[in-house]
Parts: sequence; C-alpha cells; structure tokens
Amino acid sequence: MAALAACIAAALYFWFDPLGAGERTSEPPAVKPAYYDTTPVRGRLKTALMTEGTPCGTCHDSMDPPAVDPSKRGTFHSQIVLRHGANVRCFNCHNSGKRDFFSGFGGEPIPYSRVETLCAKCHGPHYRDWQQGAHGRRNGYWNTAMGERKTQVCIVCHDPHWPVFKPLRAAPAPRTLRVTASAEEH
Amino acid sequence: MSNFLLYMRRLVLELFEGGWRYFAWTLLLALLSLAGLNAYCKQFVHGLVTTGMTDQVSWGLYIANFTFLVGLAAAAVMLVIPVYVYKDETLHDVVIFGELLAVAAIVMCLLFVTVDLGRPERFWHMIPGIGKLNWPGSMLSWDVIVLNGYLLLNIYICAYLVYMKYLGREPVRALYIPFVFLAIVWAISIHTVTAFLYVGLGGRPFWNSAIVAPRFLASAFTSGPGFIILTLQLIRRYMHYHFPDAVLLRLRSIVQVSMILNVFLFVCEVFKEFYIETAHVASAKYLFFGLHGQHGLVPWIWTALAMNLAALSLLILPVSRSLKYLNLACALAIGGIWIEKGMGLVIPAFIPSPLGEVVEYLPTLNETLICLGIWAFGLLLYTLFLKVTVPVLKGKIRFDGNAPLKAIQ
Amino acid sequence: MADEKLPAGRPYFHPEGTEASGITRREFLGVAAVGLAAATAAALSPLRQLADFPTLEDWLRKHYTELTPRDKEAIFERIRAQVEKDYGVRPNLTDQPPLDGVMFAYALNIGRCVGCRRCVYACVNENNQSRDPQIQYIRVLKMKKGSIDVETAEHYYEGEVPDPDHYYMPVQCNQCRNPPCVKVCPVKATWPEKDGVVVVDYNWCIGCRYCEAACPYWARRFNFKKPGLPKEELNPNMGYLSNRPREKGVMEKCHFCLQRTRAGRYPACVEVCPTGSRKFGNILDPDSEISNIIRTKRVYVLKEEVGTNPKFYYYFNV
Repeated sequence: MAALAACIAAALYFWFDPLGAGERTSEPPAVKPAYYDTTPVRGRLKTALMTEGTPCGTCHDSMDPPAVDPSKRGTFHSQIVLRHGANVRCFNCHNSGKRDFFSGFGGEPIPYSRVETLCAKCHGPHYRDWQQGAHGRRNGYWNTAMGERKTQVCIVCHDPHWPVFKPLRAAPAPRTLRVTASAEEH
Repeated sequence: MSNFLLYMRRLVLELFEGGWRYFAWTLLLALLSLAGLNAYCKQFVHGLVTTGMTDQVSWGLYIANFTFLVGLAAAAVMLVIPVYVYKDETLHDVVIFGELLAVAAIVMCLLFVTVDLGRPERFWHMIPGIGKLNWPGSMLSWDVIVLNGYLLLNIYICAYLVYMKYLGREPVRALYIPFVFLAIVWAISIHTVTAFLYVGLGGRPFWNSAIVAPRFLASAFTSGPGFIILTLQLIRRYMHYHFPDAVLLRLRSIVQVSMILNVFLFVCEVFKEFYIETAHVASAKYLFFGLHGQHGLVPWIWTALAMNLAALSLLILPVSRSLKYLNLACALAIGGIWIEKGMGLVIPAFIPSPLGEVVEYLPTLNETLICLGIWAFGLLLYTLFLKVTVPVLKGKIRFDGNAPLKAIQ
Repeated sequence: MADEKLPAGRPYFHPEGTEASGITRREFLGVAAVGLAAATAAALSPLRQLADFPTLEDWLRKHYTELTPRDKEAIFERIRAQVEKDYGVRPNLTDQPPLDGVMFAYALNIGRCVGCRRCVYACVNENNQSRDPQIQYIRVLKMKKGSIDVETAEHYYEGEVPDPDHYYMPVQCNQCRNPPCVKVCPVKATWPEKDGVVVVDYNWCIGCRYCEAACPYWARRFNFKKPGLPKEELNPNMGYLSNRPREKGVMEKCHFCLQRTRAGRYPACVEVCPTGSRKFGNILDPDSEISNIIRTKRVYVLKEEVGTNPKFYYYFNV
C-alpha cells in the first residue's frame, strides 16, 4: 500500500509538474537597424565642394577675397569649427582662386573627387596605408573580379575641419544566457 | 544453453524475493530514478537551458559527476591487483563486488555523458563504421572506447565467474585471467584518458598540468576503495555475506596510501600555481579565494580540503582500525574528493573564461534532479547485481544438474 | 501498511503463501509493477511538449562531406520548405564551394577600433543568430591602456565610445590553422574548409561542447534552447554551412560570412565597421590588402603561445 501510494504520489508530481523546467532567460534587447547601419559616420559623400547645397564658386567666383576673417562674415562660414592641429589657414587646403577646388602644393587645383590627394599633402603615411588598404573603409567586394569594391575616401569618415574621429554611442552590451548587464560592472 | 537460460531465469526470480527493506530501498531508488528521468524529459524538450550552464561555463555537474564516477569504476582495480598480482587472498571473496560496482559506475558515467549532450539522439554519429568517430584525434572518442571496453570487460569477468560458481565448476584460468590483467591496465587507462580529456586543452591553463592524471588516479584509489569499504559492510549486514574485518583493514591500507599521495599531489599543484603566480593562476585564485568579487566555489573547496585533511588524519592514525572511525574517514574522503574533482577541478577551469570574464555557475534544480536520478539508478543497478550475485556466491542458488526444474518449484 | 509492524529482517512475503496482511507476493508485485508503470508513464509526460523531434530522414542524414549532390538538393529543398513554414519567407539557400586559390584571413586595426559594437550586431543580423537567448559571435573587450591582460577587460561597457583611457579589442573566431576545436570534436562535426574557414555541420554536431571548452578564444556558441529569431528579422540569403537557422542543442560559430565571402563580398562585420578597422581578404594573393597588411604592419595574434596559428591578425597603425 505504501509502495502504491509512493508510486501514485510520484506519478502525480511528474504529471502536474509543479516546479517546471526551471528555465530562466533574460529578455535580450531588440536588434535595432541603427546597430548595423552601414552608412558612414558622416553620411553620404557630397558631389562637390559646397555649403548648404550651394557650390562655393557660386558666390566666390564673382567676388574678391575679403580682407577680414571669413568666420566673422556671412552665415556660410560661421558654423565651421576649425580644429585641424597646426593647419589653421583656409588656403592651405582650399584653392584661393578656384573656390570649387582644393589646392595642391603649388596652388594647382585639386577637384573634389580627388580629395585624398589633398590630404596626402601632409598625411603621407596614412595616404600610403589607405592606398594599400591598411587604413580606411572598404565596402562591397573583397574580390574585385566578382564585384565592385568601394574605397571610401578620407572625408567620408573625417571632418576635414575637425578630423579627429568623433565619439559614438556603443550598441548595447551583451546579455547572454544568465548574464545580466550589471553582472560584470565593477 | 538451456542451463544458462534456466540460470538467468532463477536470477530474475531472485530479484522478486526479499524482505521489506529490500523492496522499500529498491522502490525508493526506482522512484528517484524516475524523478531523474522526468527531469531529463524536460531537458530533452527545452534544451540544456534547463541547466545552469552557459557559454562561459559550458560543463557543469554532469561532467563533474562523470569524472568522479570514472574514478569509482577504475578503483575496482585496487581489489583486483592485490589478489591477482600479489596473490594476496585476503580480498579474494570480495573482488567480485568491486567489479560489479565498476559496472554500475560505468553505466552511470555513460548516462552522465549522455545527459550532457545537446543532441543525444545523434549518438550514432559516434559509432565507428556508421558514424564518424574522430579517433585517434579526439580524447572524447578515446573515452567512449575505453569506457565501453571497460564495461564489457567487467561484465564478462563478473558474469563468467558467477556463472562458474553457480555451476560449481572451477573457472578456466585461460578464460578469465587474461581478461583480469587486461582489465587492470584498462582501469588505469579509463581514468588516464579522462584526465587527458582535460589536460589536452591548450586553452585551459588550469588543466594544463601533467599531474592531473596521477591526481585522478590517487583520488580515485582513495574514494573508490573507501566507497567499497562502506558498501561491503552493508552487504555483510543486510545480505549476510560473511567475511573477516581483515578485508576492510586491507582496503584501509590502500585508502591510506592513496590519500597520502592524493594530498601530496594536491600540494604540488597548489605550489606550482601560487608560487610562480603567472597569469594562469586566475582559476586557482577563483577557486580558493574568489576573483573580482565572485567566490561561489570558495566554501566548497575549503570544505573539501577540510574533509580530505580530516580523512587523512583519521586514516594515518591507528584509531581508524576501528570500523567506526574508518567509516567516518571513508565518508569524509568520498565527500571531499567528490567536491575536489567536480567543483574543484571541472568548473574552475571555465572561470575566468578565455576572455577573462568571470561568470559563475550554479546548477539548477532540474539539473540536480537528473544527477540524483542517475546516482539512484546506478545504486539500484548495484543493489540488483548484489541481490542476484550474493545467493550464488553463498551457494544458495546453484546448479542442480539432475533436476533443474525442481530447483525453482 | 503492515510493513512497520514486521520485525526487521524477516521476509515480508512467503514465496508460496499469504501473509497475515492478506496480500500475496504476486499481488504485491503486481501492484508495484502497475504503480511503477504509471509513474514511469507520468515521468515521461514532459515529452508531450516535444515540438522539434527530428524526422527519420533528418535523423539518418549523413555527414556533410558524404552527401551526394542529389542528397544535398533534396535536403536543401526540405530546409527551404521548413524556413518558409517557420518564417514566411522563401530563403535563397545556397552552398557555395570554396573558391580556388583562396585562403581567407582577417586583420583588425587595434589602434582604430572605437568599441562601438556595430560589428557585433551586423553579424547577428546577417547570420540569423538567436536573439533570445542572445548569441553573438563577436565580443568586444574594453582594455585598460597599458595592459594586455584580458582579465581586466570590461565586457559590458555602455554609452559613449571611445573612452580615452581605454582601447578596444574585439575577439571572434580566429579561424586557426591548427584549430583545437576541430581536433577535439568526437564526431568530426567541425572542420576547416579549403578556404581556411572552420565550419560546423549543424546536423552532425551532437552537442557535447568539447570544442567550446577547447577554444582558447571563447569563439564557439551553443544553442541552449531553440533559437529565438523574430520572423521579420530573418536574413533570407543563407548558406548551408553558415547562416541558415540553427536548431537547439548544437554548436555554432563565426564562419567569415561564407554566404557573402564566397560570393566575393566582404563579411558583414567588415562592411559595417565605421572606423574601417576591419580588413579581410585572400591571403594567397600577394597583392591583396590583407597580404599587404601582414607584410608591412606590426601584427600580432591572440594567445600565440597556445600554438593555434590564427588567421585573424591584430595590427597597429604604424
């Protein structure tokens, strides 16, 4: 009788499963598209040297260079924050004559589409690394026989007036099985 | 052949005879096994998420128990060696109990490995020929081979000797002595291979120690004969199978020496870890003192240490010639070694993780129930083995050539 | 319950008769057998909820390397149908072979990484990892400047990066030339492909997690339960050995986005990296970017002393 009772008690326990499987999982954060957006940090590259949609030459081609600090003149230049190390003169980079162009060592115009050669004036080793693929972003195809490789130019990631790479907000910390976000904080 | 079938039938019928203690004990074990089966069904349905394991600590109680039980199985050899190598007849009458224990322990080992698998139904992938066993590359494939081989060896030796006893014949030496010696080597190998399973992982510095295998053997030859000392007394009391205390005292000297070696090797390991203090000491630090504010294993390992030292002291003192203290020492040694091998050896190797993360491991209730169920099932098997073996050894069940059928009616 | 009244050790049942309690041995054994059978049946009752038991066809499926093209097509069709049923999208399931003369390698500019974890999530999104529970192939370590001890690393930092006092070291599968995970697998369910990528046959893995213990880079992940992946987040462009949906109880790991890279594209983590710290290519091509980096830069690998010989390199700007 005791044996039967024990069997029945066990059977009831197994059937109704009062304890459950003891399964615990934490709800992981949603994977938001922003976490894996492949757009470069500065957005899409512009097509020409321009300010707020207006190519620089539109005004400057019919205008003599002003004698005053341009950041104090007009709305176009006031938003520029120039923190490019020792490089504090506009015409180190911008072509003083042809304003839609950058300026080479001898003042020769560099088109917007060849901006990397402008940066190369000072940043030789980085330019070399970029050419060889050790520096800078690549997108598309590693195998150029199978598709196009997009080589991103300097100013896609670096603001030429303030080139240091800007801080980002990190995508959420891992929350793997049985580990909560705070488990490892000291 | 019909003789053998009759013999099997008599053994099976013997299982259904017995006092209330026998039935209560087997029923209890059966129900605990079922509780384990029930818990395992839940794990099978939901996955290993029902355990406390994580990607950080990817092995837990199952593998810890597995390791301990391989040792228990290997320890049977410590009864065999004195009898067959040194012709010391003291242990002759109880050798068979050690081997039966080995069979039950190996079955538990195989169960512990199986419940640890994420896809147990794919076990056939490991069968040579139809599957793709990665032998000799993977130490786990070696383990599969040596464990199953050891199981077969012991089943054969036990079955042959017991059957011969039943028939009242002298066993043919050529039919079992070679297997006995093979089993001796094999017993050492199962625990060595199990140690190599851990030692072979270059990315786990805590295990990269050449003395893991010797430590495993020393601890196994402590806990195994210790376990046998306790079970033999139960057999003597409840199954009325008589043997002199000298048997237990002979086992005591084995346990004594093994325990001294075990503690010595432990000290060697501790010295190597803490004196040179390389970055690889992190796991040992976690184990003994805690790391980065996490110290889940600290109470366990110090308990194990205290138990082992207490057992050692008792064993080397003459006081353990009395069975009361000997039993206490054995119980302490078994507990201490169980913790030392599981909590102390398997789990800390995962903490910190190879990337330095300290994630602790705490077994779940479901996982614990599965472990308990497997232990209960193993003990149930061992009880049933003893239940049929003891009457044969005592001559209660024996071949009656002229009237085979009369014997059971 | 007459048992308590009986003296200890005395047989409860007489083999051939009835006891004072009124039940025979046969009756008792019958009752016990029925009780135990009922308890066993009840113990097995959780199996009622089993939803993903494999079909006979799946259970008997051969190892990937032994499948004939016809086997493969039949299997792929079954997978497509299953994915369509589970996720409502017909996937573009392919099994591209390794490209000739290609050995993939990876380089990471440790001086440029800002620890933003875009790579982590681009990988999760591309490779259909489980969201619940969370599985990620890449772990980014926030390291104290002046230290290379991973034990002092922070894994769970949040907020704005980079922190000026720290540098960041992402870790993922190192695609070792001498992979310990492959060596230890008892059933050869994981192996290096001809292009050097260590893959897992999700239908052959038995889930013993020995590879996970063996990996010095903590790069392998186990499916502790059925992967939780929202329908709308499934990437239908999938490879058989790479990012097709996984099942419970098997290992998975970084496979250099085989479904992309064998088609010539960059892996998702390279594609997304906003700092351009991640570099990938064919190490057998001496003119490739990756070959150039290894030739001209100061390069190191993680845990070189373990002898794994990784194809995942870290390099410095100079």
